[in-house]
Amino acid sequence: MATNAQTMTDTSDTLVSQTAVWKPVVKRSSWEQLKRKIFALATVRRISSVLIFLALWTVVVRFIPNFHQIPPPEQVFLAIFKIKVSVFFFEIFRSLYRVLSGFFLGILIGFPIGVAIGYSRILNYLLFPAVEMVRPIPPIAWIPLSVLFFVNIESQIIFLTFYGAFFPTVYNTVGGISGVDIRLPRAGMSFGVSKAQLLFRIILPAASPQIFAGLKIAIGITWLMVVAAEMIASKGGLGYLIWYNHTVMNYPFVFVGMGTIGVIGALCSVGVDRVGKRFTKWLDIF
Amino acid sequence: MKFKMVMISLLTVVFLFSSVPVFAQVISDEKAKIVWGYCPYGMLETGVMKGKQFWKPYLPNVDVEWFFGLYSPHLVNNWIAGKIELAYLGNMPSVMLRAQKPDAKWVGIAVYPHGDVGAIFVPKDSKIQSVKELNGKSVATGVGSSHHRILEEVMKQENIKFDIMNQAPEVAIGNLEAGKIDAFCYWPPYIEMAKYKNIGRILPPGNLKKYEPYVNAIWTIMVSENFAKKYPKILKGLIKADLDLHRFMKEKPDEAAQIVFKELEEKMPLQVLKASLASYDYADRFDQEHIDVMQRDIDFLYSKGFVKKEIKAAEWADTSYVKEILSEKKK
Amino acid sequence: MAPEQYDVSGVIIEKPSAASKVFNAKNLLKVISIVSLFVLWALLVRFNVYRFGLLPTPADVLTWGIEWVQGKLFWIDVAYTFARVWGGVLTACLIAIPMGLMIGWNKVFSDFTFPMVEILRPIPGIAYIPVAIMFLPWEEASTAFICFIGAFFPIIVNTITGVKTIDRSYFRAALCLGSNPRQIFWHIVVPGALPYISTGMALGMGIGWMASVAGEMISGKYGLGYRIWESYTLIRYPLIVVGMICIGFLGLASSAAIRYATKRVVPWRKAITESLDESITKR
Repeated sequence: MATNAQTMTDTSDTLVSQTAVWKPVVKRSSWEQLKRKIFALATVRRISSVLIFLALWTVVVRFIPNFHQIPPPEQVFLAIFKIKVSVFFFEIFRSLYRVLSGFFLGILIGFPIGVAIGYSRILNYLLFPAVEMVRPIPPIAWIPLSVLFFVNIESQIIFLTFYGAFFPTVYNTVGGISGVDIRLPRAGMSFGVSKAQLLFRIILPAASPQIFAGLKIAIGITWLMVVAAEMIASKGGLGYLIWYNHTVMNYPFVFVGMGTIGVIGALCSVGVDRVGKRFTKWLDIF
Repeated sequence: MKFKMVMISLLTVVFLFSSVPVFAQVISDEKAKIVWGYCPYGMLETGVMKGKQFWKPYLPNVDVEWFFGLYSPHLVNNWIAGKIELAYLGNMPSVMLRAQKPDAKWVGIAVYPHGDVGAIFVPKDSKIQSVKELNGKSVATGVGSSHHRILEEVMKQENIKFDIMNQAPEVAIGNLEAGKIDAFCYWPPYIEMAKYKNIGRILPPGNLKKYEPYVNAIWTIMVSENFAKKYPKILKGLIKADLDLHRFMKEKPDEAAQIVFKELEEKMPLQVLKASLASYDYADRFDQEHIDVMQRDIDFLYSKGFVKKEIKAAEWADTSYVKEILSEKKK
Repeated sequence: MAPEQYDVSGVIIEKPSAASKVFNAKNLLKVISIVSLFVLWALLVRFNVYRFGLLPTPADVLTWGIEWVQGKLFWIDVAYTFARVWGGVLTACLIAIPMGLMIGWNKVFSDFTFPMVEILRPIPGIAYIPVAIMFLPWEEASTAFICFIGAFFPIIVNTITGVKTIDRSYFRAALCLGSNPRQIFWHIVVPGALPYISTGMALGMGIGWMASVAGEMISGKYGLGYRIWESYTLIRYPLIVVGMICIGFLGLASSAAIRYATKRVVPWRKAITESLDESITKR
């Protein structure tokens, strides 16, 4: 009975019917399945969602006088072809380099601190209040001070991205470790595991869903920080391109830049997500 | 054999003769790498200096690394952070830098802008037809920038009062087009950019010459005490190069505009740059007149509380370099 | 045996007195933590370790802060930023919560709307600044728009997750008892998603305050974030730190206010998913 319940397919509309109806599994070739997926009503609706948005955009730009500065979608699309590809990709890689450096640095420093705070009561009382005090300050507000503090623009931006990644990582690691079901370590201890084994084989895997959720938030904030830092204090990278084109009133490029930032941010998120899924294959829900 | 020797000696003589003019000009052949802060969007001529490298005949072994700042305040903050010791700055940022760092010397005049470098724009459908009608409205400019004082001067001379809002130029252009602000007043190239993109309407008379000389300002070359002590000859060479730059800007405006166009990576239209550069004025001396102009700026900032102590421009200005160069020229 | 003769010393637990709740070792360590943060800051600046000498000292910040708080301008700033952030975030709630509920509930609606939400979500709020400037008819709305964008996506994602993680048993039970879809929506979906919605709202409020710093770059005159940028231009470094601390404090207070307000509405939340939920909430 349980296995049958798992094969519920959701081809009906409301959440209610999803739980009430189930269909028997029919074996189909993967090509057939792909065709079904592409031509399914759902996909058509999804694509039309994007089309409706573009149509709304065109209408708004044309008919509402206040918004006539915003370029309509065709202009933005054409602007894509006017970009100098080499320069553009160079800027993308520059931004990505900064994001990844900050992100990994944030994990490298944040993760051990998070584990320490979550694991040991004394370190928790000693470190966590300080972390909690600094955390509410928005990362963007650190940009002016970081200009003063860092000699090198690259190190300044990498500090800001590190800052963006640090707090979500620490916070979710602490949350994950403190939220581990107490029965798991108890079971482990009754089997006589050593402290190291307790940490690495029981507690960390149990905490990993939340840790990876935190990493997903962290990469989002890191990406935001890179864009913000580049807009304000640097010469190079995607954020700078957007602000620059805004300065010279080249609005179609601004939108192209925004779209690129979105795409790459999404790719980074998906990347972290996939890595997380690999580590937590034992969870069906994530 | 004899033929070879004659040829070699002839070539050597020719070589020596051809390089004599160069050696005659050289002020110093120190080998040095210096960092020079510049903001090519606010002070367009700095792009020409970067492109033409006027210091090369005087300082053949000096390499300049250009430190970019979008606006002068960025350069000031980086100066305080110790990253640059020599920079082109606007008038207000120079004073604020001097207030924070007493060892920052004012050694040269990059641009001596008069009333041409300001113009007040209103939205196209605005009912305002003249400057007097700005009474009670809100005008956007950069607070703490040269145009802040210019607007205060306008208020004083026209006997009106309006609100000053702090906006970055590109933001204000967008806001003007959307009709969110009543007027704005910025420096070139934003004036020409607004004209070119047909954003808003410029209020007569189209510039602020009417309020001269009170709207004049000095955009400076600032150098730190440390740099001046370490490289006095190089500094002299750089200031001389700046004077050459002024001459070049007056004599060959088209070529200069082309160089700035390339420097800004062709992102601003050539005609905008040409018109903006045409509105600049240059000073070929460094006299009491300029010191008085700067003192007005200092008094303004002090009265507004942006600068905490009184600075005397006469004590701050170091006219020795310019005077030395000019006296040499007369010889 | 008479009741008085029973030995109950091991059974009755001494209720800790109010004094011992405050003055114990745990709180001492926490206080040490916070104090040492400030001490570390002061020492690093004082002894000019690496390049810390360029930053303002805690004493500077305190002096400037006290002077500033007494001025009228500060309270105008706070009022403006407060209005912008709360305006933007509440608008985001008003739009995102119904939208999220519908997306989670109805597949057709989800297919028509969710792709656009997913496409727009990764774009950071700060990249919307040029759009905000072009797009909105009045000054304040531009900054509130950035806060709105910042808060919108966490709220909608949390609402959708909230709807989707409702235990299926509730639906089966309701269907058994003969409810129609509308009743199920109002009595199961909405209350069931409330824990996640309140999480999302608190999260959105926190992100809204962060976005306000970015959004106030374009503001003209008032606002705490604007004060930070202006202090950078006018080289008043201690004021930058004062602004940062104020924004941090107000952001924390706003998030806590939302969490407290929603706790009354969602009393059952504590029992189910406290640890996971709590960590996300505090963000």
